[in-house]
Amino acid sequence: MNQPYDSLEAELGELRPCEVSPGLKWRVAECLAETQTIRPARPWSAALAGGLAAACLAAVLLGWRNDQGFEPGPIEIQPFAPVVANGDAKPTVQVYRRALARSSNALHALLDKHAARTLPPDSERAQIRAFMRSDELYASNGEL
Amino acid sequence: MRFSKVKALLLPVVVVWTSIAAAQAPDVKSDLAANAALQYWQAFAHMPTLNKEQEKILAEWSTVSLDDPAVQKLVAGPRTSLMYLYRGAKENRCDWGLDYSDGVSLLLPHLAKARDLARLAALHGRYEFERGNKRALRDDAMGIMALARHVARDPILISILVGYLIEDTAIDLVAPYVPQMKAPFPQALTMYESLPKRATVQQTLPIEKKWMAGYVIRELRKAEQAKKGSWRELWQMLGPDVPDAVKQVGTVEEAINLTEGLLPRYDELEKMIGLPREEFDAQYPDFKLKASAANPLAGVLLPEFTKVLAKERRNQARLALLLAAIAVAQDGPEKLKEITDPFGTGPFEYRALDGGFELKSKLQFEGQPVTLTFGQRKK
Repeated sequence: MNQPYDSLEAELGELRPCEVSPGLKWRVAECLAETQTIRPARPWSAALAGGLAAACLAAVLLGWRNDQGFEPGPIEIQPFAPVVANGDAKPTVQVYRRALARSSNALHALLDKHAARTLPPDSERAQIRAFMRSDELYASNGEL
Repeated sequence: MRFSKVKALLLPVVVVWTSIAAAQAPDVKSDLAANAALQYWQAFAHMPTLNKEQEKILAEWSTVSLDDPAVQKLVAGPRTSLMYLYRGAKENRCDWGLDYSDGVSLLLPHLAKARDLARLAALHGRYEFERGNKRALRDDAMGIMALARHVARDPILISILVGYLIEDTAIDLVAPYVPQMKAPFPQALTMYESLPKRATVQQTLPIEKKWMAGYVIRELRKAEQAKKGSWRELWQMLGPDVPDAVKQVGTVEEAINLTEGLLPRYDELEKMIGLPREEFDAQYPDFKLKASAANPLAGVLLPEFTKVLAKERRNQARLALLLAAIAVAQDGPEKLKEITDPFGTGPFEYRALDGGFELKSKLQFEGQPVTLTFGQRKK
């Protein structure tokens, strides 16, 4: 009666949790340590544990379905020049600070420019780039 | 038995689903929804995509002809955006969800959007007032003011500066109508005092120290750990106009030492900004000279406070002028005797105009006294 599920069960049985990067481990450990020192255990901790377990399950299943591993590739440093060449395309603190250092009008012009359109797409996926944002870093680590 | 493993795997999913369902009813506004930024982003999403002509109209919102069909079309468009602006303005809490750990690469996409939303609301307020809808002017002005405060909630210098820009829009919207509005001064004062609090310039110093200078140090270390010599590429990001002594730094240790050597200056500057205005003005030029002489990175990383504080003071003066003008519109120029110019020792200077009046502060901004004209809106 349960025969049709044998292959699924066999495949599930062969699944093993993927190796996570040291960075992710460190952040999770940091979060857990913070939670333990600041707050005592709460009733919802069971739900949190369940959530983590569900997230692991989802990660395992997605990895299985996509047939992709999470092997971290070699870390590459991209030359800094493209970031400078990209200039003021993105509304970052630094871009605004530079504009302000030039003049108030330069800041206004930059706000006009950024208000007029949505953010430009990233031209290429970088492994590690100069002064990366955390989203880019996680993506480069294969954690997103 | 065969299902036991599957059940064990699915159990956490069920637990999470049920706990989420119990914690959050879909039709009840949760505490998390009481975040003005959520409303503002919906306002931004509903803003019309502007063509060049409309961009120009928005930039010149205070002077464009309201009879122009293009202006009327633009005003008719953003009702949904304004609805979300008013909703956001009612919330005291505003969290833009910024991740400060991104340091100088932190994205601030809401700033430009907020400034345009404020301009759109100002054009709408002006248009409606001219059609006799005084309530719309009040709602738009208060919405813009609250948005300005919410934008400046993060202790980031640029956010605070854009907050001032947006407040300027609200002041420029209201000032020409002050004589006609005859708003009760106590009510105006109450509304003003109920606005959300913005971050202060002084509060930006610990953030600059930890997340801007500190970010450079952390990133230099990370880059060097990942690949020897790669710190140089990051160092170049300080810009092409840095002093030669900064360009000539030869090792990562030297770069880190130079940056770390700057950290105590942030603490000194934070204390200095807390001093009375005259004392700060007297001490700051000397501080800048000494800091730059001791560390060539000072002129690169330490924020330039002269411009920021000048804008802050101008903003304070303009707000004080507006409130004083509301009092004058209600009780006459004699009322000014009771109001002291925050940048002088006596009242604001009053000058009657045809259809309005002018108030002048003792504060100088870019070589001119800060002045506001009330009445006389150009159509």
